[in-house]
Amino acid sequence: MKTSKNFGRGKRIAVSILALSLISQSFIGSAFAAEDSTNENYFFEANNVHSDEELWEKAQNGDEEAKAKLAEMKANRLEASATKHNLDAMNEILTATTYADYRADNEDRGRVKATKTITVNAADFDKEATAKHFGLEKYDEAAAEALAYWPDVKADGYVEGWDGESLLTYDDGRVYWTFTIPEDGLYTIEADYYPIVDDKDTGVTVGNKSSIERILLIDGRVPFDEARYITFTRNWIEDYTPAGYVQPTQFFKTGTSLTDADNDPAIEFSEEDKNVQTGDTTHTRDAGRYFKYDYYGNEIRPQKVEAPKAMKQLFKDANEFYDVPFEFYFTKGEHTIALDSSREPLLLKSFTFAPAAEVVSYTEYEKANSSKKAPATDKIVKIDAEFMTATSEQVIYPLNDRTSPITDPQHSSAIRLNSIGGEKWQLAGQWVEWDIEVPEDGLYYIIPRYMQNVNAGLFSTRKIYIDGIEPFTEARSIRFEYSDEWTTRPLGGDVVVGKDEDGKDIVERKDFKFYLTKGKHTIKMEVVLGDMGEVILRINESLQRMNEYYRKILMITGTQPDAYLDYNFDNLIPDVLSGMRSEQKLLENASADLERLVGEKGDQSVTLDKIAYLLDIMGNDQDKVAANLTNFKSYIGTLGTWLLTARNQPLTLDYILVVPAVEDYYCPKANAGFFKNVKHEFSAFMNSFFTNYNSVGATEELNDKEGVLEVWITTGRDQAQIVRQMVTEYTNQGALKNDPEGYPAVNLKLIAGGTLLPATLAGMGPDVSMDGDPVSYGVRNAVLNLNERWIHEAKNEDGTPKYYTKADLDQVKKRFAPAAFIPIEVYNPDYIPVGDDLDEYYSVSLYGLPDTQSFPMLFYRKDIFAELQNELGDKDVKVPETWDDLYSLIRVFSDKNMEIGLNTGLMQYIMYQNDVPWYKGDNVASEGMATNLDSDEALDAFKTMCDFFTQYQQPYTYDFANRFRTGEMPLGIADYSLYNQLTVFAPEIKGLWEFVQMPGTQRTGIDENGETYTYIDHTAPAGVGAVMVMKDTDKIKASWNYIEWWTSEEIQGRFGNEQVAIIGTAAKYSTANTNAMKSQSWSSDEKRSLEQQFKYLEGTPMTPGNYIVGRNQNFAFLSVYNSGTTPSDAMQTYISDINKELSRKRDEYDFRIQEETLTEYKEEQEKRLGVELKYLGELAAKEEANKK
Amino acid sequence: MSEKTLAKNQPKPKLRKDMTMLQWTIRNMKVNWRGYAMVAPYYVIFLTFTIVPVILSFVLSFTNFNMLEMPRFVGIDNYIRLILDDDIFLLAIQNTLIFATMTGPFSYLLSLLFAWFINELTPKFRSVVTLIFYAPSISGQVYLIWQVLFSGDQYGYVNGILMKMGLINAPVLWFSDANYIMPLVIVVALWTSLGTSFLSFIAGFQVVDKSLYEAAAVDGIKNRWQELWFVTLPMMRNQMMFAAVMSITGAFGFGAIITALCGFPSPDYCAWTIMHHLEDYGGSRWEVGYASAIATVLFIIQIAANTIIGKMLSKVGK
Repeated sequence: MKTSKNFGRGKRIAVSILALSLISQSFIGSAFAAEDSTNENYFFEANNVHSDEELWEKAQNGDEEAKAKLAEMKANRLEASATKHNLDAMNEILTATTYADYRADNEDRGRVKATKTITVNAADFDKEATAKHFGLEKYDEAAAEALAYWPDVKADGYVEGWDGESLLTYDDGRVYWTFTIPEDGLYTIEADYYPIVDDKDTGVTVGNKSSIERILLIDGRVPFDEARYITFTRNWIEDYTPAGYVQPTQFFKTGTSLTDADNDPAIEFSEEDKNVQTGDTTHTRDAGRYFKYDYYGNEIRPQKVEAPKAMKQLFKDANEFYDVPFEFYFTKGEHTIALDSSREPLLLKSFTFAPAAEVVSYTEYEKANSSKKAPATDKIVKIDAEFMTATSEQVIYPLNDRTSPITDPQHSSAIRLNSIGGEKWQLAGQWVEWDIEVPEDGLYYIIPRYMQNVNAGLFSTRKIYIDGIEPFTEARSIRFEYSDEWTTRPLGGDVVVGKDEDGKDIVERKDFKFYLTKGKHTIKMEVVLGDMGEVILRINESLQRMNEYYRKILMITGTQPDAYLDYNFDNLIPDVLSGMRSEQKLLENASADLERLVGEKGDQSVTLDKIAYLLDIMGNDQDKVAANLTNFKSYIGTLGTWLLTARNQPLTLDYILVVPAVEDYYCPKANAGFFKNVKHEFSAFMNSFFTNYNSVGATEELNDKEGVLEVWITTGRDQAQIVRQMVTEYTNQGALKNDPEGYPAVNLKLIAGGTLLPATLAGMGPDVSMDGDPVSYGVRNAVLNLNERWIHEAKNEDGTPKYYTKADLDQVKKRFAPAAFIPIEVYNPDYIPVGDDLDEYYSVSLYGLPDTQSFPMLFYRKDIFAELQNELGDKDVKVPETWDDLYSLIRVFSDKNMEIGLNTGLMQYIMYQNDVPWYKGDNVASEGMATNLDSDEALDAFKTMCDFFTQYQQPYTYDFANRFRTGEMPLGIADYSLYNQLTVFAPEIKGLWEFVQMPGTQRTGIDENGETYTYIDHTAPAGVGAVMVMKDTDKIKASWNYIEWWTSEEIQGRFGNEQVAIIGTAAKYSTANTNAMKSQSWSSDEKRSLEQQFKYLEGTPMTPGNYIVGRNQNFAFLSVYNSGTTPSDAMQTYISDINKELSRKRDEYDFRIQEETLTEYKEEQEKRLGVELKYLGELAAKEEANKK
Repeated sequence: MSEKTLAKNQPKPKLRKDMTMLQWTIRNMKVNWRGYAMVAPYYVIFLTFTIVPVILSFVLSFTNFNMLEMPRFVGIDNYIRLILDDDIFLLAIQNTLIFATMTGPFSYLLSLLFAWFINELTPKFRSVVTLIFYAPSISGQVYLIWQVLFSGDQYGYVNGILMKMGLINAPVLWFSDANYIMPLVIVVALWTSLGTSFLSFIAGFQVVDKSLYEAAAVDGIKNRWQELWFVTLPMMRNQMMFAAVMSITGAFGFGAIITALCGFPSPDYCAWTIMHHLEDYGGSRWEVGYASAIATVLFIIQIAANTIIGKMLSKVGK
């Protein structure tokens, strides 16, 4: 047992005050620590040794386990080595046409709409063709069914509302359908689908609720580029919806106040009320509010529930650049289509090939309804927009708007989820649906209270469906103009009312009158790009071409072109110059169109004009190209950013009214008067002094309550909120498992970073901390060692384990890659074996459980590699699998003035891939005693790394994301989380890049028969974040249960999904739980790469004094880079410094130091602990034997 | 009762000589309690947040304190190690003295000089120029502009220009190269440190009574230098003292800017100051005992520097 170094609480407080004042006085500790970690980040990480020779030796001695391990290792290694990065698909993409070209081509050829409709049942898929794609020679039922992604035919009645069989296609693989088209013509394709998540037959969860994506192939090829991203939406509802949910439609009489903050009954409510509201999920406060309330009277955001149902969707552009669905040309006769899975499984019922639906114009719609009247009712229908019936995505959830006192309902301090949309509802294809109850037949105006205050100078567009149908063409793009105030105005738009004498359309703005019958109707609003779509599409294509031109010029000039050198562009790249000239005209047109659309000349048109001007200069005078290249690049960047914003169509809605369309129709004021605003703002300000912002969402007052588990978290507020909503489940397990004490209520506190240290010092720390530095706190006795025998073996009176057992711990450990534990484990100098048990298991302390994990991967631009391959052949250019491949690429790249993005972590990668450990030491007691950077292998790796920057002159400082985007750096190693950044901020290169496992080192392995084989070792170092239990806790069991619960697959997966749902794709969570990580929304290719990399992870031990290694390694590198010192000399200079510091630090914490023999160390420890340490004795004996 | 007894029972007259120093003080404090009550808030805060930490830090410097466990008394081990077994500390002292000289006296004199020149300008023009000089020190992290200028990327301004001119072929890592760090950091330090002293000098020049110049002229001042030395400077001794203290403290505490520019630690500790050493041991290595010893040394150096400055300033005008 660990001898207690703790001291009384009273003393601790005294010490804490002094330390606190010291901290405040003398250092900016945390800021520096942060600096420290970023600087030395790449040196920081990992290692464990898995020697083939050792295993083989064991295997020879008849160890079956070792044999099995060897066989398994071989299989894994060969599988990973066999990966070839295929760029064929990329070539196809590069040569692909866009839908605009496809459509134009069809028009040119005079192809017209078909008249007939056919339906193809999904279950009748082409088994032969599909089997062929799966690599089978011939379709054979048994063989096919055995395949992992072979589609499943589901029986009749599998989905409610469908008759006949359906087909389950998985998130990988491809399915073909063959059918006969009755006549030549243009067809739209509509799929009847069901967004499946759980397979009812097998009970297996096959999907993970992210967006569904397929590649469409017609007759074996992708007809146009956009067909690569056919997406299908899902159906999300709120958690209160399922149980007999009725959409709260409210009726008002004309003239009564619709929105009045003063009347909001939520402001005061009794203790009794609170209990009802917090405990009961179905409780409604009053008619129309379905939310739950927290202890403080805030409305709690309801959980989103996916409610899969039978849905229909036309194949259309995922970006909504075109406001109509795709029309495909088919000749009469037999054809095939295929859907290739990119993301998520999909249950398909049928495809309907039909001519595009006719939609009338508003003028015709109005004419058709001319006999109809506005109803003579004074009833106004009102729906609070936050009570939608369904949404397409999880991200669209009720928001709290504070900008206006009359947003309904409003409260000066508590959170009212009073609106929907905002920046959560801005991407093409996202829709929201409401149900309304119409009192009488007749013509109505639909009046939303809305605000678009994000995209200045632009408008947001929505497509309106009434009962699932577009009522008229104008409803395809209804505009919501920018304003920093709320607006109430009937839905309307520009309508062509006639022609003037020049034959030009006369356009007039009209408020649309919708004819609605009595009863229930659905209003659906979908984000589209509307009129902007076409212009944005043109600019987007232009941008892609300009990026290409930039790269081509760059390949000739390099990044610092000489303005006075004659590069002879006219001869070298005449196509680029002529391309620039034609691009200039396109951009000028786009700029004019944009100006016409928006109605004014905004920054966007100016940017376009500037680029056009620049293109004019560069395209017409080759001598100006080099001089203007830098400008050109920065303009392209600006344009890319602008496109990103222009594609976003944010819109916030407060409520929707359906008002009889009479002459003086009712339209409420959109904004509050001056005094109302002042009153609201003032009371909000006053209330801000009394509001507990850190506990928002807590269902009871937990501060200072006995028996509550205190958990600290330092993330953002949103994340804390998610965790807070999830912890109730933890507490609920107490009742389920009949162990309320093991699962107490959790008081989750959101604290500022850096609070943990002083709080722990003062003895006022939490039970569990969700962030922190486990080993640093651990060796100083502030964190509970989870690997402690007395904990594992403690028993209750009835003999049941008091806390948790060794088996429990081992079970939990299986959730993670073994490497994840290395940085949070360290040798335990206080370990005292019990009796004769020499179990080394307990000689290592484990100071927490990993929850996040990061590791590097190789990012590359597929398009550039494909281009280079076409030019130079795929012998010289291939995606590097080994470092040799990568080094040989440098030559190719430098010819083209392109670079490779590597960092100084390269040394560590190479060391780990060769099983060279970071520290010297043969056993657990000596690990970390001395650095291994002076070993021959490490010095070689160091030299290789230095050469990369010095001899090969690759850049040391650079912004990878940016250069990757422009293509200057088409290859680089970065943390895999860069994926998030690139997906969100560089949409123009969507599909043109991917990440794959790290380049590796060729090695020889031994298989179970003792034979050798070669494979590539792709090891990468992994860093982890961990949750830890504080030593002071008096709730070991509850704390353990909490970290066990938190790191479980389900909770980690849910947390990841929720975080993406609430914050967006950029916030993808890097969980350390292997299964939870795979269950996040990766495409099948990405998942494969990640899984492969997961097999090759290492951790760097965090032993006392570890910071000194990275620091000095960096010094050594800089001295090579800056002063040209010989690498090995440079490194040797620092070795003694490193080892000295390691020894000093180790000595401080009673670890063995380099100057001691194990026997000496053993004696010292025995003296200190007063016990005979047999296991150290055994290690010492081994060491002696090894020496001889 | 006898007279004697009566005399004995008479209350003793409260005389200073009959009391100990302590009694006397307490008595006077009781009499003047209102005054003490008024200064109490300041003193409580000053004691808790300045005096106590300084003393505690001094006490801690004789212990081995790892931030989370009870400190262990180690005598003067920390000081011995600091002076005899810590090469980097000696390097830090050297660097700190260089920085202190540059940002202390040198920038002090520069400020004085500039302030004197600028004081001659017309008020409108003067306020503009004052703003220009003072801006770097008020606008917080504006020194990061240097990082953009001297970025190690080939797109960094200086690298870009030099490469374009053909003076260098590969980008220079300005802030990671031991050869350039010191000069660059000194320039930045000078640039940012001008502010406060400069402002107080400007203020000082404004308060000098104009009639004194006339009087001095009558007394036989011959030139502007004499005017400066015998009239202006003695009149603004307070401002000078303030500026001096500020710049000395600033000079020794100069660390954050270096960290922001060169990283922590700076390559090869080449721009390592005592502050850095303190932060390294206190913040990264969690050796608060040792860090306290460093702090104590720094404290002594600062006190010494301030005393010397005070002495020197008292010579002004004499």
